[in-house]
Amino acid sequence: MKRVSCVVLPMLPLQILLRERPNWSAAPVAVVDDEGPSGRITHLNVLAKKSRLRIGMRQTVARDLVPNLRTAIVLPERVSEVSRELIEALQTFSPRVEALDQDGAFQLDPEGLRRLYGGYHNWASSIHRYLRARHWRNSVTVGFHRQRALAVAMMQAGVCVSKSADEERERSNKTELREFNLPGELCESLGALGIETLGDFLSVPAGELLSRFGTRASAFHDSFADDMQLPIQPQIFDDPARISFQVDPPDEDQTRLLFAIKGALHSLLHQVSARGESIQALELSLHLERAPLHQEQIEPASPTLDLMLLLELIRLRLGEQRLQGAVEEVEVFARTVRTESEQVALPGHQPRRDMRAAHRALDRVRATYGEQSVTKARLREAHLPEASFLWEPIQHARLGNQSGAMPVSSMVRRVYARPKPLPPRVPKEPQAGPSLAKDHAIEHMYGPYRVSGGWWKRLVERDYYYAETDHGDLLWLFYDRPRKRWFLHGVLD
Amino acid sequence: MSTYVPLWVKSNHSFLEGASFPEELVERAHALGLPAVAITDRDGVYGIVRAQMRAKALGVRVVTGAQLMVDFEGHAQHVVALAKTRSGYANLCRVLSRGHARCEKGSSLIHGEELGSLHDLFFLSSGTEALRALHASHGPSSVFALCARHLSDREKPKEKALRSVARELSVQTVGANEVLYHDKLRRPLQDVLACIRRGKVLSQAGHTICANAEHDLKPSQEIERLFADDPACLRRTLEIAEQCTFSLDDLRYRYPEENLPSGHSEQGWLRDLTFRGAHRRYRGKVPPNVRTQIERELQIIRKLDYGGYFLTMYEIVQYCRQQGILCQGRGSAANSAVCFCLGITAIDPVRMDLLFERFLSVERAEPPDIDLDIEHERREEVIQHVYEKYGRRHAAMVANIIRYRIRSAVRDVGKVLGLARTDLEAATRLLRHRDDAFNPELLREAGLDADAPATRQLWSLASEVLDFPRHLSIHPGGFLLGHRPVDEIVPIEPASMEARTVIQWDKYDVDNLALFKVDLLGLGVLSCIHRAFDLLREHKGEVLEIATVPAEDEATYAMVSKGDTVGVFQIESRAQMAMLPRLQPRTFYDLVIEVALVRPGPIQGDMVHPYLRRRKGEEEVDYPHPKLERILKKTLGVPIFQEQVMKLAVEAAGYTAGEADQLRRDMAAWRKSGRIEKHRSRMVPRMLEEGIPEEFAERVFSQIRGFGEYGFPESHAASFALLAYVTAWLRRHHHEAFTCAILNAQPMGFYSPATLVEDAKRHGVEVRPIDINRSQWDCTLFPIASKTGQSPVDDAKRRLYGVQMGLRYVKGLGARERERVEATDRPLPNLATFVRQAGLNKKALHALAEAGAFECFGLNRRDAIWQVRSLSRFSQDSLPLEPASSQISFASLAREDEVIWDYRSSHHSTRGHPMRGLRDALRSRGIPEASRVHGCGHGSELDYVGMVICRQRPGTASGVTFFTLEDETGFVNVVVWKQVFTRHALLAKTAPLLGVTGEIQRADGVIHLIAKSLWAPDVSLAEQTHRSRDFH
Repeated sequence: MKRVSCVVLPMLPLQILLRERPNWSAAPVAVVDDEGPSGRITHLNVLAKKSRLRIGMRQTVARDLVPNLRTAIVLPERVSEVSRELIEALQTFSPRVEALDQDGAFQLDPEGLRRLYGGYHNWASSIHRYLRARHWRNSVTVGFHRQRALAVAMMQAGVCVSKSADEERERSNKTELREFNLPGELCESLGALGIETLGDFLSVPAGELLSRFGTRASAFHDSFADDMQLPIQPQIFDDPARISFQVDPPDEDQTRLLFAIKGALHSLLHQVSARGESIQALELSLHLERAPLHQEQIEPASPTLDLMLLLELIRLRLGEQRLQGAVEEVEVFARTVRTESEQVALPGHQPRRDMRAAHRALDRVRATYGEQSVTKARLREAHLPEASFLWEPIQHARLGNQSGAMPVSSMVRRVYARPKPLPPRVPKEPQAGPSLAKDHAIEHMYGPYRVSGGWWKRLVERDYYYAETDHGDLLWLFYDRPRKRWFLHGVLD
Repeated sequence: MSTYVPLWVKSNHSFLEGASFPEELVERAHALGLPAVAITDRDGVYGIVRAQMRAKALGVRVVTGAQLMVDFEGHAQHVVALAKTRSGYANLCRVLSRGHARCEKGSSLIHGEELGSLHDLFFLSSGTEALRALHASHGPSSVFALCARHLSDREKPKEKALRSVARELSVQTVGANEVLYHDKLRRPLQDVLACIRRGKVLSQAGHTICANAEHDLKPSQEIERLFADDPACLRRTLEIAEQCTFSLDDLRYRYPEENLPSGHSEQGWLRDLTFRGAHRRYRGKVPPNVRTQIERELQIIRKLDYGGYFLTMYEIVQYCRQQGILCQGRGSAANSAVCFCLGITAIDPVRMDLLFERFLSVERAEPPDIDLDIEHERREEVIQHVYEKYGRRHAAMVANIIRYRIRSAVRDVGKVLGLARTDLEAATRLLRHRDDAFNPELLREAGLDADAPATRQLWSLASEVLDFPRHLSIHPGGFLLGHRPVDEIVPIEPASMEARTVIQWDKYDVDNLALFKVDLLGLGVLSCIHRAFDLLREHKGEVLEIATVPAEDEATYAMVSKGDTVGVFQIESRAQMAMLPRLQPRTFYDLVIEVALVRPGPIQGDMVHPYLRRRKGEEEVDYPHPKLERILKKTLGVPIFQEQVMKLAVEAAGYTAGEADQLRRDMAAWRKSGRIEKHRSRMVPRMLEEGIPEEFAERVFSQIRGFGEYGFPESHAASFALLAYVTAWLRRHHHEAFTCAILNAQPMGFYSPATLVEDAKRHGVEVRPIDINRSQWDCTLFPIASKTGQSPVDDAKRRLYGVQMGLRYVKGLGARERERVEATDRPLPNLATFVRQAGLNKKALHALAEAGAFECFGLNRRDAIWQVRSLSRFSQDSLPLEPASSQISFASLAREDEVIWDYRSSHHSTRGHPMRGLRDALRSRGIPEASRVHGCGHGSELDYVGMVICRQRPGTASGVTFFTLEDETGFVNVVVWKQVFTRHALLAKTAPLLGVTGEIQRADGVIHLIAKSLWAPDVSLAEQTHRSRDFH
């Protein structure tokens, strides 16, 4: 009879939390589903349980009872991330690993590597030891039925290998229903009838359950039927599209390198295309002779399979670089996305502006000057001038909204990225006014316009002025009160 | 000489915007030498009374106004409106009421055209659309272009455009900055408030907060510098303020005139009704001293022109009578013979020798304050009657301004500072047990880094925001009624509660302006008494009213003297129960004293033990000064009532009537710390001068301070004592009706339904469990045929009824389920028929099955659950098809489990006490039940196990916690000293079933178990049955 195995890491979110906060191990700890007072406890450590806290209790009540209670949220994304890492680890014991619906529960096929370990028990013990060595609390079972094996793993700590299906049935029947990932209300309703364990539950005819407790209960019941057993659905991780080649002898001539990369790219594109995907970004790693690794990332404006475009972007990027040594090996990783089908545009309906051309141009600028070289200003609500906008990189050019264009001011204020301190002037600033370069003098000052705030972090107090010089220049200055100094923040033209 | 008046000033009563109290703004204006200051709160006149009161004291004039949000054809703009005259103020209040009526709570929007008809107001606006619209409707004389200069670079172009429009319209400009705080130091707090209002954190506040700190109340020189280019616009502020002559003193308030019968004046009709009532009260023989008292009171009422108020109260009481709603006046109104004769109060003040002047005096000329207690379940009917009778414009409820307390301050400020919610939650949790004292150490305990800037800011800003108004709520029952529409006195807003409206002032404002207020309060015990009277009439044919309950009943006093008072109004708490055997009440006045004695005032003033010793004759009754004998004679030389303290201040410390009244106010305003303390330096030396011993003087003063916490006036204690007596009488002579009534009046009182049921059972009342064929929604009485003679209680033979628990106790059933169950044709033959007829959902059916309500169909609870889960699918079927029955049958519950299920599904059990199941185990370990504990001698040591039904830690008990533990035979009072509590804190706070090792303390028939240690009994029962009342 074919065997199955189950690995359970009980209360995985709590285990994750305690690994991330090792200094909490001596305190009562609870995982909550929300930071606020109404957040409910989902997991508790032993100390917290001893303090009479219960799952489902509101955080506010729990803190009332145990003032030194430590609480935190463990996001589902974090649990998924850890689960993926665990699957990778478990794949060293069996190529066929499936993550079950329940957090921290995994199904493994024990058949492949059993002989290597000298029996099921040794194999299961190896897994148990491996996880324990990495501070994961876990239990490992080997049985005959995937659901029953899970039930045994949830109830028994350590390693448990069932000798027969009957033994497994007997053991699993003792598992309490609330251990399974069943809705709390269903468990409570069944509990009211005295149905507390899996054995109690399975003794009720499935048909009677369906009419009274719905499909969830019925499906759970069915999942224990021998003829309803599902095979393992192992997790498959796609390898990233990747290609590499040796350069022998090492070479630093960019033309020859590009030619070699072209060939590799061609084959990489073929590989990506066969997966129904396009290239979103390329990571180019150049192993240099007697010099550190040189890496570049090239990102086209939109996912592509255009060889010449990619090659052109690589050429532009490498053209700007001076390699520190001859290249020994080239590795190219492709970050890919699934290709979206696109409707062909009707002839004669092309927009007046060719956005594709704009994207290509921006790609070339980025390839030449770096990924952060194309930016746009995003306005922000703030009183401090330098905080009222933010330069952020953009990937795509967009057509401006011409209809809602703002009226353009007759003057343009050019703001310095960092205000320039003006020479100190004594005595009695600011009454004395700012001092400029030797051949400049201020004829008129307009202001002050006061900006102050940030007291919760770093106090800012500035009196801004517009100053007209004898040369006809219009300057934008401020007197910084805490620093007692004048600064030039911009000019107007 | 000041050159301007700030005309655009918002106090912190512009909720979560202004950052200074109205008083602070007025004080600052006074300090700056400004002749006047306008208070223009956002969308209302919330802070005007406080400003006016302070201004009067300082001699500063307050210009009354408001900042309105006005919609000018789609452009919402601010307009500052200032009242020139009384009529202008009325217009302002009216339009604000309209603005609020059309918006959600907390905001107002006035339509531009509505301002067109408003006269006697000045309008100031910085919006060009507003200026044009206002100019079109009011011309240039009442409208001004508002130029505000806060040193913002955005203001200049706007002002330029505004001035251009003003020139075009020939409208004059006026210079006024928006003032949000009296001092620049409040700027951070204003930023925080603005963020709280908009739900933002400071680091992302953007334009939610102001650009700089220029919104302070500036001195003349500074504002002159700002407007140096246009000094005329500042001079205009003086002219405007000069023309705004309205003051709140101009509010001529008239109480509504009642509809009088033809040929009667208000006073004549009151006199007529009073004497008719007196005739009824005294059964045709009005004693001469009562007649004299009535005449004297009527004379004072006439002199003060308060007749209408008494007639209104009479009308409300009459309405309650007609509708069968029980009500009773409380508080100082019980000092009035007129109120007694009109049926407003139930205490005869002449017989009780109560002081009328405590209620009303010509010298004080304050409006009378009558609090009317109404059955809590029917109070809304009375409130809606008042609205209906007087109209929505003539009647509105008084506001309750919700202010920042330490926990809300830490929570809101911390959120704005971006601190983690879990840390803030921990901090606020810790604060709950620290008597609201703010201490930065707490923040450290909560896990916050006390040295971090954010923590320091939290500490300072949370302290600063304390007592700031946060939002408007509704007073529990205060009504403002007016002869003229109330919305001409103060704007009316819709309250969050449906069909309620609320004014913008709280009860302190109303008191300060001497406006009449009617308080309609809900009181659960009146519902209980009413229900009990109904049951007695229905089942025993006894017709009773509060006034006709047999007085001075010995059996009742005997029961009360034993401390057997579970459910009895006011004397049921653990402390009261412990006092009763010591005080041994034998007369109604003893009950009055009992009610007043067990309160923080007398306890903190150390008045309790001297009184008890003197009462038992263990201590001689003496008076510290001969002239105090008259005041203290009734209470054996020990001051117990508030009136006595006031009289003491007059007689012993030479207080004038005015000073004594101030003392009363200071005692009432107990939240304002320090107001009582100032009396110490005045009172104690004066008493010493009169030859009163220092020890007594200090004791009197500490009692005054105690009264600041909470103390009863004699009249109030008498009103409550009457209700205490009535409930005690009902409990003594009709325990089943009393239990049934109190169970139906829940939630109320001190004990849970489970304890009330257990108490009734211990007194021989048969209580039947919930049964779908027998139970109504409410609990009912059922006749008992033959078993009565076997009751262990001596007079049980007279008891003819038991209590049938009602469906209201099934957890999960509500009004909809009640309607459906009541529509069924019960009794029904089987479950399937019930399910089909009632059409209840699965959840409700499950709840009934779990509560054992279907046992009448021969189904145990598990079988019933199994069946209803299947039958509920057919609940909407009209055809009586029986679904196929299941072959599965479940085991019945064990007896102990039945009790647990009862508690889980209905918070009580008629089948047994959860402790009964443990009794054998406990007995085998030598642990006694409560009845045996009561037989133990003083000093004996024992272990006891009981269910915790109450934990109390009174502020007066220096950290001692009092536990009431219960088992199937009664209660055990446990005293847990602070160090024992700390040692077993977790157990003490959480255990539903508690083991105590301690020593018996027995004194005057009162038994306490003094805990030496607490422990968790080695039994798991009762985890699910527990619901205690904790920490009051």
